[in-house]
Amino acid sequence: MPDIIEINVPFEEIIARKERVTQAKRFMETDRVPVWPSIQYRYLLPVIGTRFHDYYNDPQVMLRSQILAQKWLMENVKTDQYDITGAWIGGWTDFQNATEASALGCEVFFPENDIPWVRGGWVKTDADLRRLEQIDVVNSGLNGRQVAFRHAMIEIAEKYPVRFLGGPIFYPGANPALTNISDGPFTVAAALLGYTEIFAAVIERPDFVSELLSIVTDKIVAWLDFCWTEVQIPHRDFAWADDLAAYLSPKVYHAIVLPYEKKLRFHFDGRVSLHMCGHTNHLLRILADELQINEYDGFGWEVDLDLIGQVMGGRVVLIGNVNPLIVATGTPVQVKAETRRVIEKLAHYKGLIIQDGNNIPPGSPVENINAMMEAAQEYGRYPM
Amino acid sequence: MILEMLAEALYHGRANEVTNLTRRALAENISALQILQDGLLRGMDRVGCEFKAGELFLPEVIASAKAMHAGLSLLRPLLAQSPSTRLGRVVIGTVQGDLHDIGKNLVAMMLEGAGFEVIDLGVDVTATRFEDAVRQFQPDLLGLSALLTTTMPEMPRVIAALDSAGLRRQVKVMIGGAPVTQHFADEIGADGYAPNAPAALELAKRLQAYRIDNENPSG
Repeated sequence: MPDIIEINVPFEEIIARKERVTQAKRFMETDRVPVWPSIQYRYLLPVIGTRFHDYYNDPQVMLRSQILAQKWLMENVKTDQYDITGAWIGGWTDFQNATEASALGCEVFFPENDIPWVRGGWVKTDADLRRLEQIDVVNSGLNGRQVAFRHAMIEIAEKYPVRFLGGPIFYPGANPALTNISDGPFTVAAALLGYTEIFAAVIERPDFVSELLSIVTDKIVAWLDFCWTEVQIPHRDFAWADDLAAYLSPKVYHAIVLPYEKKLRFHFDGRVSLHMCGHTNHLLRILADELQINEYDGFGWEVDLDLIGQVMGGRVVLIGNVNPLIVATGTPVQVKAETRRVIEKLAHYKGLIIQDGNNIPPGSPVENINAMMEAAQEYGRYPM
Repeated sequence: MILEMLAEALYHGRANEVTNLTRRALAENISALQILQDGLLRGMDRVGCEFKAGELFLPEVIASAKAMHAGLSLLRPLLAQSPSTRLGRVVIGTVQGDLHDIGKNLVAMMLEGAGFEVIDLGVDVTATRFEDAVRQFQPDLLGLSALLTTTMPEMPRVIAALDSAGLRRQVKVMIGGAPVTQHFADEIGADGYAPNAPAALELAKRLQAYRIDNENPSG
């Protein structure tokens, strides 16, 4: 029997966190506003001393690192995160945001000391669209590698038993998640066409962009359907992002992108969660009314809090939006003040979970991250 | 009248119309400099202001920048005869380890649209390559972009490389990108920081004016 990896957080505490987050997602009053900092493996791998090169080339290193990273996070960061399995939070075939573009023919660059990135687009002509249609999205590029890593993780899962204090033993590698989330039709299409080129093309070649989005959306859905079957996901909840779409006007977003966002979103009839970083004031109403999102996850720090409260408060769970640059370069006092501002503007709607807006930069001081929780404990107690 | 129409066509990003109106204006013996200043740049200034105010978005700005290029391609040979119309030369690039280029491209387009000569080194540019480009092209300004907190430290490396090569004093360094701040610019000894593309254009004009004033104090 291998040594059990003990995470020094009491199991009852984990249950309490889950209850707090679940209640917030139902717009119920909890004891306080929950806090769930978004800390990804770009931050965590250097902390535990794993080289990115090793992480992306060996499924055993990936699985072990994820468990140790989540153990560090759980023991050092003040958070209401309550589990360490699933995409983004451990036991996951993690190739970051490169999987979809890679599976659809883009070249991926693996730096020595960072996460993988996608190199520019290859879809320029109608003939390229026809080639794109022929791609087997499940077995190509990094998606094929995800499946191989998943099987390898399952084979070694028993080497890595994990336990919270006083809780049952579990195996994060037993059924690791594939990347069952999406970067979104527009952002994936941008990778294929070119990140700058697509913004010119929505005006110059809108029909071409629409056809590209249509093919991309079908490919995304095909991959997601595969994930649900392969991993036997027991629900129809879904989370996706579409960061680059934030740079579009409401008119262009509505005319060109929204039909495909809807196709993706309404493929799922469970809870849906959208992430869109940056300045999205101009799209909030469309996201709430037409996409009918249940959660707005990690919304950007530039979003106007009064506006988002008016548009989404009380009907969309709001997860955000402390400025991550303040977390990275400010002081705990500044982070606390910023968190307090979010709480004072949005907590009375209920359905608020404090997070950075979005993604805590590598190297951010832990005391700054923890200042978000300290603010919630001090200013975020219900009833208000 | 025709210059107002030109400004309007540029604002709406209609490249063909800009080409036709520029040709017509030249045929009417309006000087290239006046077409640039009262037509193209007036339209581009409006684009910049509205983009900064959140009233225009990236596709519209890119369309206007492309229309600007269409007009400039006709004017450039004529303007070249008058060196005073070139605002300055800029070398720009995204620092090593970073492949993001939307912001950098937009800044390059707006600078070029405003009359700067832009040499775009692309993405993932090493400090040595920036240093070589400064030596080779002798730019007035150097623009460094980074989207990632992990690649921001490349910016002081570029400045250090310029220092070591004895090139730092001949070029103003401006920096930008989502995680970059004025505080960071001050800390690493950059000459300026801009939070967005229109602000980058304003900064470039300001730095260049400062440069010219200090190089020609009597002028």
